[in-house]
Amino acid sequence: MNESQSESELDWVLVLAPFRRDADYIAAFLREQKIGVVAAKVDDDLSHHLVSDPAIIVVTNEALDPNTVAKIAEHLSTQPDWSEVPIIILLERSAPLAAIRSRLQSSWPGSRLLFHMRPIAPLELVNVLQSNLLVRLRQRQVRDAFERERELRLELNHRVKNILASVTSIFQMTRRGAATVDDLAREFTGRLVALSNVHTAVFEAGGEEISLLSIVSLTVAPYNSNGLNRIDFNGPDLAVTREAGTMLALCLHELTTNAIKYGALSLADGKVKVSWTIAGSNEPVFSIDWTESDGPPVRQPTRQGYGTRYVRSALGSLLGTAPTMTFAASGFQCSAKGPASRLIAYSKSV
Amino acid sequence: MSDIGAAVLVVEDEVLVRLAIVTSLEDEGFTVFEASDADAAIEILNVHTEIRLMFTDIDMPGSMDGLKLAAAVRDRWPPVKIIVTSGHHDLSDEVLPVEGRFFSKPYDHSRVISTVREMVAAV
Repeated sequence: MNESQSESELDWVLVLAPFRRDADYIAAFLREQKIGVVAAKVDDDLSHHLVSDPAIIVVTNEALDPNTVAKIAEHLSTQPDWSEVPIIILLERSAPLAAIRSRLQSSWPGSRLLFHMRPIAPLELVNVLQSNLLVRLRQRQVRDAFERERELRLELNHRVKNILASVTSIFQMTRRGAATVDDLAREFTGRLVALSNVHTAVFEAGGEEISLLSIVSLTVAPYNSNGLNRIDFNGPDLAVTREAGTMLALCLHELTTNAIKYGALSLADGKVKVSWTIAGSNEPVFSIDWTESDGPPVRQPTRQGYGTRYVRSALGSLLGTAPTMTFAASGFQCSAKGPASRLIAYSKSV
Repeated sequence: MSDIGAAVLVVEDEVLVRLAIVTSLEDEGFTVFEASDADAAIEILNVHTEIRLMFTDIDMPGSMDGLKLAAAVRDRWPPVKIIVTSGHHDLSDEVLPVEGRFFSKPYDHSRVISTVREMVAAV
């Protein structure tokens, strides 16, 4: 007997017809109609087949001995909420329909009982099975939708908690460095806006990855408006992960903020160049450089602010090696490099 | 032993969350080492034998989560005190698989700091 290869996806029919060769006859006919089918012996392998979840059970009245009724009842009792197993009962014209119906309804709660008189026209049987296979397909789709919704709710909860934790941390860190309440409000808002912008960009890009070029242009856009070009950037476009994109955007925000407060962007002629590369073909290395020029005389700060600490930690975590920060006479520089595989989505470029 | 400048290790994959607790501990005079996953934490513990306490998140990517890391540390560096934190698992000091303290996220920095101080002083 050809046990259908698809005997698991709730898309096959289990036939229980012990009388003569009824089962084989029905099975052969259904196979001709491309309906997956298993004709089972009532005594030995019924439980084994039920475990494989038939979409529909076809049963003749000779098969309805107490043992078989009990085995099917047990199978029905383990069905999840979304599953309503259609059971097609083929009865002799002389069979006591009312008595059989009431017995099966009490033995098999939660099933869909469909009674047909024998001999059933082949076309009628095929129609009944096709429409019930469709019912089962819809039930599976409902199950999958419930499952997806459950996963999304868990993921949403996880993300919201992470975002709240990030916002709490940003607040605590900003408060430490702020001299006045106004400073605190301005810096905190600036950081939240940067976080919000990158969130929007990732969401619009589909939620899981984002183009590095769009992250950089988004972050520096406010400084390149009105015909000014204060922050020059170039590098190959790459699809980076959501986490990498968020960290890089926040790093650029902090570097920009520092450049405005203390560095090149504090003077009208000061400039910044951001460039990044991918080199090597076997295990490509990503490197990114932030270089300031034409700014005020460079001084090494006495105390490391939040921005600098964040950039150090974030780039260190992202690339596996802490970045190098140089307070060169020509301008502040920050360089970082590490395996490109740590930030690239699906290890390939756009 | 005095706890002035006592060395502690913070293991947390979320950069912002790690940075916040690291700076709070530094403000209190602790010498703080940082790791973003269990493998990096073990490398640091191998080199810096002066570390007296590890504060680790449970939910981290990599070869080991924070509970496995805590078990490994308990095994290899028995004197190192352990604090475990999580935003998902609902644990308590009693049901931690290793001797240590548990904080659920988000945690109050001042409570974490006073616990760190207590645990380090008890050495």
